Amino acid sequence: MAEYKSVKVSAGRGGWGGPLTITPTDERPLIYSVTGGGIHPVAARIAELTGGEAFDGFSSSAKFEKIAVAVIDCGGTARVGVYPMKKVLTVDIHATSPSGPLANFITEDLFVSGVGTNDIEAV
Amino acid sequence: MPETIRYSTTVTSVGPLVPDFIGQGMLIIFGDGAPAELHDLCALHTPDVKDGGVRPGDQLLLDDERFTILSVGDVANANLTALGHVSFKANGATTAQLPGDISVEERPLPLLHEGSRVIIVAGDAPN
Repeated sequence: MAEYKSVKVSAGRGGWGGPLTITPTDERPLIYSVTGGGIHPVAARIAELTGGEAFDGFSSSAKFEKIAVAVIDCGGTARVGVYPMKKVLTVDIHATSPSGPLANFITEDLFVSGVGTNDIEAV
Repeated sequence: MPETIRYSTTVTSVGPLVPDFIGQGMLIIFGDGAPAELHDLCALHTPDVKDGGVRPGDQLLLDDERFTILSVGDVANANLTALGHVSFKANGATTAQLPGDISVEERPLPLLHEGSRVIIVAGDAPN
C-alpha cells in the first residue's frame, strides 16, 4: 500500500477550467503523460508531489480505470476531449478552452489548461 | 524543379469515428505509436518524411486531392514532427482556430483508407 498525497492544479496564464484536486489511489495510481518524448515535467511534478506513478502513454498502454490524471499537450481537438469523455481528470499544458466534437465533455471539474509546473501545489 | 516534401506518410488504419469527423470537415492524424484510446478518432500512419516546417501556401495532398494550406497553428508543426499528430480542418480559416490545427480551403475532404498517402509539399517560395 502506497501513501498518496493530494495536489491542487490550477489554470495557468490564458488557461481554462479547474482547479483540480488530484489524489492517486491504489486503484488509480497513474500520472499518465500523453505528450510524446517521455514524461512531461508537469506529469513528473504531479507524480513527485503525490507519490503517484509517472507513466508514458506513448511507450505502453494503460486502462482508463488506472489513471489518476492524464497530462496532455493537446492543441485543441482530440486528446483534449478523449480523457474527460471517460471522466478522467485532464491537465493540458497548452492554454486550450473547450472546442471540437468532444467539447461537451470538457468541463471545469474535469479539465484544466495552460498548466506549468508552477501551477501545481501540494495540499 | 522537384517539389520540396515537408511531410509524407502512409495511412495504416482509419478509426471508426473518422468518417464522422471528415463529414464535419476535420481529419485527425496520429503516428501509429499513439495510445489505444485515440485510435477511434484518428487515421494512424507511418511517416517516411517528417521534416515539418509547414506554413501557409504549402499544399496538402490527400491521395489524389490537393488542398492549399491557409493557416498553421502554433503547436501544429511540433506535434506533427514529434507525434505525427495534427488536426486538418477544411474550414477556410486564414488564422488557425486552435493551436493544433492546419487549415485548408473549405471543401469536402476525401475519406482515407489503409494505404492512403498524406503528403505536404512546400508552396512556391516568393522570389
